[in-house]
Amino acid sequence: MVSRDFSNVFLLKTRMIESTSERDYLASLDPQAVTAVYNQYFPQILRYVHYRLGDEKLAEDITSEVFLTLLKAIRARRGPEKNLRGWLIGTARHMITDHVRRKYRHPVEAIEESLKFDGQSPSEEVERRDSHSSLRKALAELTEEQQHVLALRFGQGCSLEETATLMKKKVNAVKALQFRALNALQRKIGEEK
Amino acid sequence: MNQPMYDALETCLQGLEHGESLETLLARYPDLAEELRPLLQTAVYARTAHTDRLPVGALTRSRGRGLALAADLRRKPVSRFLRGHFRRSFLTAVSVIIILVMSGNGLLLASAHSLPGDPLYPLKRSVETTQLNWSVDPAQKSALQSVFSQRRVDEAKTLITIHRVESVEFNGVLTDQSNGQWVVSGIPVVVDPQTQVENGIGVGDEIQVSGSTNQDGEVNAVHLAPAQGPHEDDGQTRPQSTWTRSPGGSSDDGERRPTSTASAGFTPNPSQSEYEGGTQSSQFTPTPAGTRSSDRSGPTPHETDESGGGDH
Repeated sequence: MVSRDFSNVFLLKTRMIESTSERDYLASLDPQAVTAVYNQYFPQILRYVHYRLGDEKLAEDITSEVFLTLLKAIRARRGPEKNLRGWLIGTARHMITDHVRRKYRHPVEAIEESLKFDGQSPSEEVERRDSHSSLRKALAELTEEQQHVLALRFGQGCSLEETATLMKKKVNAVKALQFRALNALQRKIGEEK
Repeated sequence: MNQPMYDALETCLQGLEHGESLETLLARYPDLAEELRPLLQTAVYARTAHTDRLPVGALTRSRGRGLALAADLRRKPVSRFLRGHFRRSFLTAVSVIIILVMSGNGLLLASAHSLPGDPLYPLKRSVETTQLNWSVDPAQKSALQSVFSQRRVDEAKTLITIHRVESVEFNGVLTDQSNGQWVVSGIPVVVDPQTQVENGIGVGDEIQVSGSTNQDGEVNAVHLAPAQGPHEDDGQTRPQSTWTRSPGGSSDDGERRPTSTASAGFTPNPSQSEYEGGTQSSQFTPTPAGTRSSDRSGPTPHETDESGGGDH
């Protein structure tokens, strides 16, 4: 009971990370603090990585690595000063970039997944997969910054202001960037078809 | 440049987020609708890449790894001093100090075995001078001077052994004073007509020898004087040049020319001007080998110095 109360208090505090240095709470690497951070942020970061890469297993691996990096950084007192979410997304972004770079250097042939119908007819599933695949290809052809802004807006559901904060840009710059990103994506999708 | 378009797009995106229909939104911007429509359709399409579905057990697996790592990190305490903002700068400073100390020590060690003429020999002498300057106790200072004095003798012996020609200066006991061949602390010293020999030197005296080693395993003496006790020099070897009158012994022009015997590694020092042009060395009339300076005719060094002192 006490543990749950503590966890709840901690969760409340983690929601105030934009105004309070969460590093102090995490510095001890207390199991409850670590658990609370995972519960709070793991799904968000996983969705961001998944949006960027479109691979469930890979997204889980990279997200997991992001959190291990966080714990090591906190121990070494090099962790986030204020914005834990921003730090996690930034670290995930770097790891994705590294992964893409490695992938280009050492390309591997993806093994085609077996079809899972999830209540849909086979033709619907095939159509869905084709559509998903062309969207993925088109997204992958955008610049890294364009992919990032779309992942924040549509993958994370961040507001314009949140996106500007996370990208360390001005609001108008983000507006222009998302306009260019959607324009480019529309063009790429057209080329795919 | 396209700010109205950017603003309209953002407003429409927010509208889509809140469930408004595409047509409703486009109706607000009739002038931009044609350009906005494909962008908003693309935005709707781009949203489909988002998933709310998490892989089963992903959070549990990852959290388990995190908790294990946290427990491991907790068991390895980080030194309070070596963490935080001080860590990086501290490590940098330590690295620099280690490099400096190691390179400094390496140089000192190397210089300890250097001989006159070696590049590191001035460093060796500087270290000795520093040691002397820092020693406050007179007994300790005297002991150091004895040690350094013996070093000069050893250096000369080493140079003779390896048949290397270098300028040397050392104090030693005169044990043999045969014609033209003296022996000082076991080192054969050649005394020729060019050698300046001060008064009052006899067998058993401690004398100061300035000269240069030769290929025959001897020291060609340039100047011999009663020892003043181990001198405190400034780390630089005294120059081996001395002043003699111009050939023919004419002193009419009062001109003095250096007879260069200096070798590599020896640098004249302004602070030693007294030694160079002072009362000890300088002008004397060369005498046959083996003739004591006391037997010499001609002006005394002091007299000569006065007569030609203005040339310095």
